[in-house]
Amino acid sequence: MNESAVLRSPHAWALSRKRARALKGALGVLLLLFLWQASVPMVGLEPYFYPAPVDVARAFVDLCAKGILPVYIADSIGRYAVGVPLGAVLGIVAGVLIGLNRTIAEALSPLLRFLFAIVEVAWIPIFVIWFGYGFTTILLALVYVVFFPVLYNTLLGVRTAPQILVNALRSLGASRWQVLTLVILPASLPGIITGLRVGAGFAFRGLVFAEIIAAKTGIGYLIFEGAQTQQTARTIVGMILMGLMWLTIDQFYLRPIERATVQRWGLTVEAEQR
Amino acid sequence: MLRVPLYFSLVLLVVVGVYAGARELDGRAKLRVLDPPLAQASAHYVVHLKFPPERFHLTRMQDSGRLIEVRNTAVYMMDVSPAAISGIAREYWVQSIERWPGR
Repeated sequence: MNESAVLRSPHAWALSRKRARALKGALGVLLLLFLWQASVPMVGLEPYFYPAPVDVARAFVDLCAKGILPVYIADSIGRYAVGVPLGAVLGIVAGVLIGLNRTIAEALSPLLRFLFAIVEVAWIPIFVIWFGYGFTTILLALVYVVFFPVLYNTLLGVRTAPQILVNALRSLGASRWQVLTLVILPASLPGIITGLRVGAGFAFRGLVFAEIIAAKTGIGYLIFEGAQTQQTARTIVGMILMGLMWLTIDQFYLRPIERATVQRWGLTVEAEQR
Repeated sequence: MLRVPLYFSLVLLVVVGVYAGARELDGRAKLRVLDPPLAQASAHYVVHLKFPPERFHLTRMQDSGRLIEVRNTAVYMMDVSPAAISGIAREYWVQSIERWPGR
């Protein structure tokens, strides 16, 4: 280690490490794009079967120019922005309420595990029969996808809250509300955030399925429609956008929220340090 | 810690606001040149797109009035309300709009 490296502050170290990681990530993407583009003439298939990155970029520009992409992105984000918080709130409330009572938790656990195992795709046809095509069906699919991971992890967090702290607070005369807010909820926070991140990730899967079946707009519909009309480049644009949307949400919302809540209580370590 | 989501949301809001403002100005400019001017009641219009319309654009038009005919990049519409034609005019993929006597 040279002298200048020794003199660098921990903050500067973290910054340079982040930059190095971002650079490596960018190089990985560039390498993938290069290999993909290079493989196109070797494969020698029609663009609708195996489009090149250039075709995908062209499809992206075309979709933007025709006004399709802004509407589809806005519709998908709108559905996601309503469905995920709703599912998360319901999951947290249900998880806390169920978790506070051992008998109810034990009685409902098998049923919850059973419902968790039924993927949202299986529910969508039923939702379509009940609520028709459109926003309600998509919203229900999203709420369903988010609800169970959040509920399950919240329930786990509530059930595993340190009993010694609960007892200590009770012996000091704390009310049920104080026990809940001072011990149980902070102790459940890692579980809640884990459930939220899992649910928010699953929600993209649910969104794609729901939009394929029950919508005429959205990124999921774009993926489906592109394949149906042999515009495979458009399908790939939709897939890439899905990934980018998830990365954006994770980077700018979920991770900072995780840092601001869970790590503030010192119950976990920062992901980068693991 | 929550500054990142807050700032990112603010940036998004600004971008969406600028986009909405630009759409509004663009729509007004397209309607200003209408001859005769924008009707108070439903009227007939020819909407010229910058390219031949796809299903997405035709669905959007159908939501706004009676879609009569498509000729290359021109979409002929009847019984379009002032609010609906204003909405269509705000779309940046619409080149121009003109009044149409109808059939």
